[in-house]
Amino acid sequence: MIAIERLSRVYGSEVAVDDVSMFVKAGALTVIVGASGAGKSTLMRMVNRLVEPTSGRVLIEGEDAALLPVHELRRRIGYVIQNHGLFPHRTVAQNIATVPTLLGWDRRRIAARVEELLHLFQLDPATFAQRHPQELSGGQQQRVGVARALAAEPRLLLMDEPFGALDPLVRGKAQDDLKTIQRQLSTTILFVTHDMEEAIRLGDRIAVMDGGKLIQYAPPAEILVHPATPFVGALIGVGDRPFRLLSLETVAREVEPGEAEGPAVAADADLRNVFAELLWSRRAAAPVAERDGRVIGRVTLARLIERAGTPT
Amino acid sequence: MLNTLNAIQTIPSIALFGILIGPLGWVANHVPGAAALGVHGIGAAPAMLALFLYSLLPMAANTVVGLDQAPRDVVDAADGMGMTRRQRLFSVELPLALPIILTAVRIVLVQNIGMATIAALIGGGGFGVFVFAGLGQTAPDLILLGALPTVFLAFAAAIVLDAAVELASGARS
Repeated sequence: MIAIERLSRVYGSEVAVDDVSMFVKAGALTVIVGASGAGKSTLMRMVNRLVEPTSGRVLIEGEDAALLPVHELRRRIGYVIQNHGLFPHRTVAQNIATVPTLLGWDRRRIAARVEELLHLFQLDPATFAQRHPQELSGGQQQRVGVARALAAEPRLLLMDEPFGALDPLVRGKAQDDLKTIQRQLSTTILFVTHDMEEAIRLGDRIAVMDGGKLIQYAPPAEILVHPATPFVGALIGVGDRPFRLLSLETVAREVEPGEAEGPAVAADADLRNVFAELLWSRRAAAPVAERDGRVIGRVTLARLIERAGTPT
Repeated sequence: MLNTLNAIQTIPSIALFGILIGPLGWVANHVPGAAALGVHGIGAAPAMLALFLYSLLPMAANTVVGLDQAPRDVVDAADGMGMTRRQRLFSVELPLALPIILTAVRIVLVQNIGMATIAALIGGGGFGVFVFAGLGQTAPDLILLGALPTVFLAFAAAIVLDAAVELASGARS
């Protein structure tokens, strides 16, 4: 849980972050979105005090961040950046072990934790532990970066455009993995991006920033349906709105009893993908199947069209 | 500070050996115990001091460059994970700068092996003694007796340190 209270940061005559207050619930994935220069990175960096606030304060689990020794504070908070920032002279295992080593964990505990994390991120320890970061692909480097940030089991994870440098395919996978891992560990995540698509896909709540100010702070569906200002509307992109709204829900909730022709869609697929599938295969309905192949009903085009508009 | 070192580097080596005779002679005469420690106006002391001064610039300059070239992301990550400045220096910036610092060691070593022959002129001894004796008597075999081992030493030092630089940077590629 993070409480940001009237936080500002001024550089000379320029106000980077302007009187921002927000409350981040424990276990939630909160995305801060905005154009470059909107102050979103600065806001995040004030949480682990890589930037010191000009005024206002940050409470983490009720504790004022400014009162803790800065190194202790940072060791308790995971931190992931865009170009992963892995140490090139250290192996993958050593990189992941960074914070536990700083905290003085004993060697066996560190080794066990490193192995656990490599498994969690689908990196085979036998293959990857002793490699250097340069020998990995971009997606693997990013996974090691996230694993390193999670090594000391932080309750809070800060991610500054962590997937910005990945190609779209790897990026989508990284986003799905992050969602899964976040649900598993119920870590509180503060995630900065300039990409509204990514924000909607990941966020439990989205904070939209512009010119250092917090413009709107709401769940994705509310941002899509009721953008607070024309700027937020522009970020969403009016043309994409129905599809983004669809992308928030999975098929499971729209299943109705009945039969349908053609190949089944997965129950955990999002509605946008199913909509696209129905349009593409020129079907009015498709069977819905669970992971194990059991058909649980059907989803109709009419139902999806109904769901894609503004709620009345 | 680098400017001072730059200035030292421009003094011709023979001149620097000469310049040091004065102050070191004074120290030897006026500081009790200095002479007993081997500090004299001529001999090995000024030679060592001059070689040391010449090695300062390449060493300092390369160390600065080396520490500076640690990637920004890496430094940011080190800070963000809660390393103290000292931990960051010793476990991140210095290891990353090591190849560049070792390159400076190589330059300095080869340069000093050559320059040490000149120390013979101020009684510093070394292979230079043969070279200058040979020059005085126009005896090429004497000159070679001094020059060849010098060249050999310089080569050997260069090869060993090249290997060290390779090793230091090879660890992460």
